[in-house]
Amino acid sequence: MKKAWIIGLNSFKESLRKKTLYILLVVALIVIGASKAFSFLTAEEELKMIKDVSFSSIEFFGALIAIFMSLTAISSEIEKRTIYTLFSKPITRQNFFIGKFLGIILIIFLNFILMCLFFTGLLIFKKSPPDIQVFKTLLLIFIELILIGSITLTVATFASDAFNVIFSFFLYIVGHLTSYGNQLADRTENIILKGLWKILYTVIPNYENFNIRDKVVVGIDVSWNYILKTGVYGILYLAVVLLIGSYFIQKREI
Amino acid sequence: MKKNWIRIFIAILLLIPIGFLQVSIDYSKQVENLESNILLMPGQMAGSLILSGFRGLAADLLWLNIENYWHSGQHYKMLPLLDAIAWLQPTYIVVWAVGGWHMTYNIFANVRSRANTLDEELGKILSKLEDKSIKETITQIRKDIKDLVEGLAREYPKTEEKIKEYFDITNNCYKKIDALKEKKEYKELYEIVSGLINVPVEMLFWYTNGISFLKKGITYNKDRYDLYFELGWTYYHKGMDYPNAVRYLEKAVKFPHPEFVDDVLAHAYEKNGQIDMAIKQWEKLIGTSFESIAQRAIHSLKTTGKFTP
Repeated sequence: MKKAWIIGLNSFKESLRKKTLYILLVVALIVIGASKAFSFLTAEEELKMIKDVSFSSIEFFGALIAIFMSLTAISSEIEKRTIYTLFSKPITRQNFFIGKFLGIILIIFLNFILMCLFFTGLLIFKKSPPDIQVFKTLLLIFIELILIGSITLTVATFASDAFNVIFSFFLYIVGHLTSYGNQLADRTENIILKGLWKILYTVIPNYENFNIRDKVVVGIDVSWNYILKTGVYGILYLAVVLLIGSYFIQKREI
Repeated sequence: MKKNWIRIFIAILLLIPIGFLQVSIDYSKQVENLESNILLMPGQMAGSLILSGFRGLAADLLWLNIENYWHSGQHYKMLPLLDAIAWLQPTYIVVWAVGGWHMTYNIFANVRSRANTLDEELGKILSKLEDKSIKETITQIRKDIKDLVEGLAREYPKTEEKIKEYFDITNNCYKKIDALKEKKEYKELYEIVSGLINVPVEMLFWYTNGISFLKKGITYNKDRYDLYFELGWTYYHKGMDYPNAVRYLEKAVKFPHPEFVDDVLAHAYEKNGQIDMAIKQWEKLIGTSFESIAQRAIHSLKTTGKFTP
């Protein structure tokens, strides 16, 4: 684990050198800050808009950062041939993969915290300090971002960057729509189609589980029970993704 | 290599608890009103696909357009946007409340103001009209419609039965001018009179539309007082439909609510002829910020049987 942690820290430091990260972060902060421009609305409407824009920005730009930082985490090591140096030392492929995963978590966490601090500052400035519902929403967004990053990292163990980026974005959109598909499947009478969809519904990550922001901004309270269940869902799904990733990294010819 | 396959095997096994967990999460979503319901309409499905996880943001952008239309007085243009926001975020109470208010108050008043312009134009035409019988008929229609428009804007109750009566008046007016429709020389007169008759019809249309909009909002927000109160208030103040006002205000007070809801309910009881209930309702307000008004109301109701002007 210590070896994985060292790889993770190095991976984190390497990510910090990427310009893409800063561009995305700055754009995200500008968008969040721009939500203050709705001051011509009533206080209640303005607050809703600030929360909507900020939650969406944290998730969207967080997802972009998670995908782009995970995308090249493995391929750049292969391209630069630094992976050979790494594997010539007593480092297993699992250490390497888990290390990369830890590095991704760190970079996502850093960006997430910066965006959250900015958002929280904005709320405090508006004399409406964030309540527990805001923190619940942010917690679920963070778990979702980790999941998105880990899926991109796993796909990177067996596919090209081009395929990976398309696949990750496609999955990001589909993952938000599986609930709709499930509702449609419930209405179909074709048992095979229904069964097939139910399998897909389990296999495809349901990102919509983590999306409580639309409800929180209009004042609906989300229970801790829901947060706990969704948190466990995220962790279990993460375990599945990491197991698949560690399988492919083991199989990969380097 | 054998060990490597175990990883995939465990991953597949883990999908089983994930499946069960998803069922449990779906159930929680239903219970906690966290579901993103789908409307099976092709256009809206496409919208869902495009918006995926960003419905709230899309609703906000539409809301900004509504604000623009509102400030520029383009009330009609707001309606499709209100529908769209209500579809995107059905639990956003403000949309339902503001939408209902726009229809029952603002657009209602907007339509009413049109009657003045048409009435002026009609006055000019009538002064030049030579046919006495037509002149008499149109003058009568003008008076009936003017009374109806003014009445609807003020004290006329808008209960279901009364609305039918108002439509009888407008239908009769339409029948009376039917003969003018075919005559070329009365084309302008016909258009102005039919436009005038249309004013109360439209006023009632927007009133009932606003009521329906609020009722639709309630179906998505059954567990909150807000829209029951909005609807109850609209029935009470705009509709003077006191039985319905009492019905919805009674529902509103079943959920956590501010004190003014109890106050409106007390007034509604009185207007509905339920004096005992009104007194009981005022008694509930003793010990609150409404205490002084409640005591005056109780005294007045007990002595004269009347408090609300």
